[in-house]
Amino acid sequence: MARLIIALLALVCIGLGLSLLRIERDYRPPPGTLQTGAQSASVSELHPGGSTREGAFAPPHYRETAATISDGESAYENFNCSGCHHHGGGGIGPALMDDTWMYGSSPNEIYKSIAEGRPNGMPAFHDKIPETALWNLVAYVRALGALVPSVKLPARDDHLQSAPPLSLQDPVQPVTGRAP
Amino acid sequence: MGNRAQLRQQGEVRHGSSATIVMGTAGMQDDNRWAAMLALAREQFAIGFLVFLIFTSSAGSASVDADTSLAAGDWPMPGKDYANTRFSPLQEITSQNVRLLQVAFTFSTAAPRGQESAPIVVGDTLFVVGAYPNILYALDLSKPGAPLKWRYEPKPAAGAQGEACCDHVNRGPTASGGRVFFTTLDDQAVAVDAKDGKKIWQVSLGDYRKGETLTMAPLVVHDKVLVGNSGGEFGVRGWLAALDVRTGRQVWRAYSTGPDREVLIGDAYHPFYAMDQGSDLGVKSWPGDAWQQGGGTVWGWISYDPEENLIFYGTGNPSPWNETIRPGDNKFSNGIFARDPDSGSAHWFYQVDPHDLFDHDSVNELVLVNLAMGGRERKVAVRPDRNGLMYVIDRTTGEVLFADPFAPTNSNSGVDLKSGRLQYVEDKKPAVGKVIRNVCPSAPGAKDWNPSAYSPNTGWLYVPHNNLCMDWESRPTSYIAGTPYVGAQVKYFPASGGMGGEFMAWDIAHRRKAWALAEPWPVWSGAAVSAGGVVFYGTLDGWFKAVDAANGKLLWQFKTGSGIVGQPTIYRGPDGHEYVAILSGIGGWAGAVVSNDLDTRDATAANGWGEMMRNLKREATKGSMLYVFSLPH
Amino acid sequence: MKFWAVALVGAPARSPDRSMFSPAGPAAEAIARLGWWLTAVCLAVAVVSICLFLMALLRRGTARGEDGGRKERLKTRWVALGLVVTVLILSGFVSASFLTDRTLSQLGQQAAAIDVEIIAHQWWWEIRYLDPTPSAGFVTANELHLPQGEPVSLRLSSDDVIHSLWIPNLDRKWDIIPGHPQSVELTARQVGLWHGRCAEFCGYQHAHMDFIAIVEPRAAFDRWRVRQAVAAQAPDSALGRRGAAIFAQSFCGTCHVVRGSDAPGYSGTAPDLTHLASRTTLAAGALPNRRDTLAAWIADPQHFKPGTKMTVNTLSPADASALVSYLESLQ
Repeated sequence: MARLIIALLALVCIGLGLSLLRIERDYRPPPGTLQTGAQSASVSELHPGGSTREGAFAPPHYRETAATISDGESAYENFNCSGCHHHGGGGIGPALMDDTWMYGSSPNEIYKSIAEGRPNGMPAFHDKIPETALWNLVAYVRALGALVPSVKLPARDDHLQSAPPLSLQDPVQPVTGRAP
Repeated sequence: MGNRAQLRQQGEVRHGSSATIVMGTAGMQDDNRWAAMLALAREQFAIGFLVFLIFTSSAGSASVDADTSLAAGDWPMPGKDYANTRFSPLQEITSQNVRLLQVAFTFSTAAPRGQESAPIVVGDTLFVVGAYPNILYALDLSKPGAPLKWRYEPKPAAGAQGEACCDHVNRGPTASGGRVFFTTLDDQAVAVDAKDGKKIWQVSLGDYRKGETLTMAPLVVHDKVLVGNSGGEFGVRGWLAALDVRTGRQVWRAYSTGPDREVLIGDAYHPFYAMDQGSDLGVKSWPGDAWQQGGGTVWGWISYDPEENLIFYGTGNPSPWNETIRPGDNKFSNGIFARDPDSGSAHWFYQVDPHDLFDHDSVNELVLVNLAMGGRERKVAVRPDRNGLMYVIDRTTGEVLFADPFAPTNSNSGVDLKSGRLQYVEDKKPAVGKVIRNVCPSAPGAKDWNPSAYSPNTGWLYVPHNNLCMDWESRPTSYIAGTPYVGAQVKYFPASGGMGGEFMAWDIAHRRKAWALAEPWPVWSGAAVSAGGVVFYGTLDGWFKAVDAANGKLLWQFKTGSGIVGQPTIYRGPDGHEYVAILSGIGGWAGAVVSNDLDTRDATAANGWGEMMRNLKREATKGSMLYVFSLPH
Repeated sequence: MKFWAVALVGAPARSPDRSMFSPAGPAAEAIARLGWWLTAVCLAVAVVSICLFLMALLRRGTARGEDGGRKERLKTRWVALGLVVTVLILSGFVSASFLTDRTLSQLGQQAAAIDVEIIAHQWWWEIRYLDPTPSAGFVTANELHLPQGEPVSLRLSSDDVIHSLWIPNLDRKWDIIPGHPQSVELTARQVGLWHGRCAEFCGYQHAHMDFIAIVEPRAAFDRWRVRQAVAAQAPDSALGRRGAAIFAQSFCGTCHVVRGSDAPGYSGTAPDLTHLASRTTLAAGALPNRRDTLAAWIADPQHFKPGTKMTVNTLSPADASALVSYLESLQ
């Protein structure tokens, strides 16, 4: 009996000790990724000659975690994305929460849309928003578009309720839409 | 006995500028009355023409045109006349026969976004500007089907589409002296020859990359084209410029913020109220250098009084919407200027909303009317404002005579007529991070830019407007040039009664509604009224309606292909018959949900419309069509 | 006596800064008085309790019932005495607390001529000085200047998470809860530099969110205020101009504002840098404000404050030098 109690206590102590370990986060971009942007993204789905070689979906350092999505959410407000796209419903800019993606929904393509801009009014932010923040924005935009598993998404924020909580979205199949 | 003598017998005849309430005719028989009205109209037009001649000759302009713009059947500027009455003296279409109205011809402007333009008619040509890419079309009304005479493509930059707060709209061209003038989204002002569409000049007035665009309909006064900018949601400094009609060269530019020499405030400046008096108020009433991103854009309507030789216009909201960032009265945003049209020098200014809290731009139309008050006649400007009050302002001094609520309003308790200050209600004042609920009227206001019409026959103002309240939360924002500088999350919903809009007749002299028609959607089109006693307006789900001016009875309606946000105009065609023209193409700020294919699961989409316009996509689709109606003949 | 008390309660004892026992203003004096009383009484109670406990341990116990009821009556008297003393002490504490609160609220009702808005962000303080003539108002960060002896009205708010402003030498902790702005009055009597900090856990860098209150004579305060309201002048050296161009055109200008430059306006994201060189520290107290620390901070803010919103900047040495020269010119 005493041994059982001691064993249980030991287990509890180990558990407590483990809980003190923190997930290490490095806020610096991985070496060699600064200013390199997105590789191998193509805006068009058409590949003449029957080529099936797809561009890379996302760079190796790209992460969609609760942390990057949360950082992306605050960057979305700080850089005035919400002024044109609001909470995904769109306004001056198109809706980001629907399933239609004019210029593609892969992280590389979204990165290009933000960094290089698009011809009908999307500004180019490559020299205005730092790399890490740009990739965080990509993660958040994909979250707005219900392309991220809901387990990583917030349930509510303490603001005026605009759209239903991100964690309650149904997953969608992205569709390439037409440019205006 | 001449008509004038007859009238003098019956009552008083009031002279004045182009709009007059002839109270004395009220008791006359219809026939006599119309004859008397026409006689008076002829007399007033004659006086007006003489005045016009005097001014143009003194300004050295040689082009004294066989000026069809003064002909009763034309509609040469969006407001029909300098007083912005939008009243046509034509009487072929009456409340009796309007039910027979049918489509005469149609025309596609080929740009399926919000069509806010007014179709302008001079002689046998109709001019209309489409949404971006702002193509100016001229239709030949003398041929059957009104075929295209010519088109002018200004080719505005595509990037400007990302700097337009409220859809890629254009409020139309204006015609004068054989030329047609209009603006483009990328800050160009254009003058084109009315006969063949050849460009006379095209000048750039701003930088769209900083969020500055042009959407308004210019006004021609003397030998100057008046143009104002848009961009109050982008931290753009507002201005009104006067360009020479012949060359496009800028003669003067009056900013809405900044030091007096840039706001063109000098010795002639005599505001009525103490709060508007002082020097360099456009700097001092802003923190630090915030006036440089101050807003006060001039994207609405300009009126002109030839007798006083003053232009009247309003300035837009201060930037940003989040008022905690800009303590102070924020002059000269959200107010009304009276200026000399030749020098731009300000004569008076009245700030309608000092330190605006709710984006209640003060750019709505100022209808110039002469009002009999206390035994004498006063020259006033009547305006249904965004903040829910119907202002009647003495246009010679800037004094507010009345400001009565015409829509549900709980965010202000009226105007203190002694100080002129709008009285805000404490509970409805915003704070960062705090949601204030049920604030009325909403940010689009009790009435937005879409203009009302005034009938001198009834003395009433016909007002298409909103019935909306909102929830508002101020958020932090930063100024990044070329991106929105707003700082608020909002959502709109109907005020009491559940209906989103209303079309009403406001009895100016008695300061109350004469009649009102509830509409499910906010009414975002303009209005036009004729001497035949019919008022025209359109709805967001596409119905173009004719209503009895006397009692509001629906006389006729036609379902157009798309929602209506344009301005109806009434003209006499070359065949002598009366026509009513309207553009059908949903969009603008209220219709952006459809025109930009937004997702209304987000209640804040299009800066607040997602909530209100949840189902609009089920009732309207994009369009781009001009409809012209007439009686069968 | 003060030293021992301070040492015992564990407050930083090396300098009077950051200590609630070194009051520099009337509110802090009232709080310090309460603090001393509490300390003294609690110390006395602790000493007495320990002595009694030791006495009880070391005395030889007697068998129960030997003495008849005398021991029982004694025990009851001791317990009653203890209860009475405890109740008296606690009542004393409550009254002292109440009286201090009343003093503080009376202090808070003086009419203040100077209005300051403080907005707490993660992890810096935005400070806006308001003025009856709005154009004389300005925005700064992390450093609050106060005139000696005069009440200043502070309007505290936050737009992200709960923070708390605590300047131990001057006043109590003020919790700042998003959506519930509050107005408080602050008066400082002693000239000097007093450190404050965020006193409510607000995220990863909560510990590096220092606040600095500089109390100076009225004349010096007025001069400082007038200088702060002026926009930055264009730099006169070529290096400075190059630095200004780099600032406005690269990432810096997107988040930071320097009034009078090509990065104008207002920012809710990052501190206003118009008069950066006039401040004593960088990054809310994380670093002293010197050329080398400024350069190191710009190059790698994540090294000093991991998790902060400012990202790493790789600039060429020439560009970095120009930028730092420009920022140092922003007096």
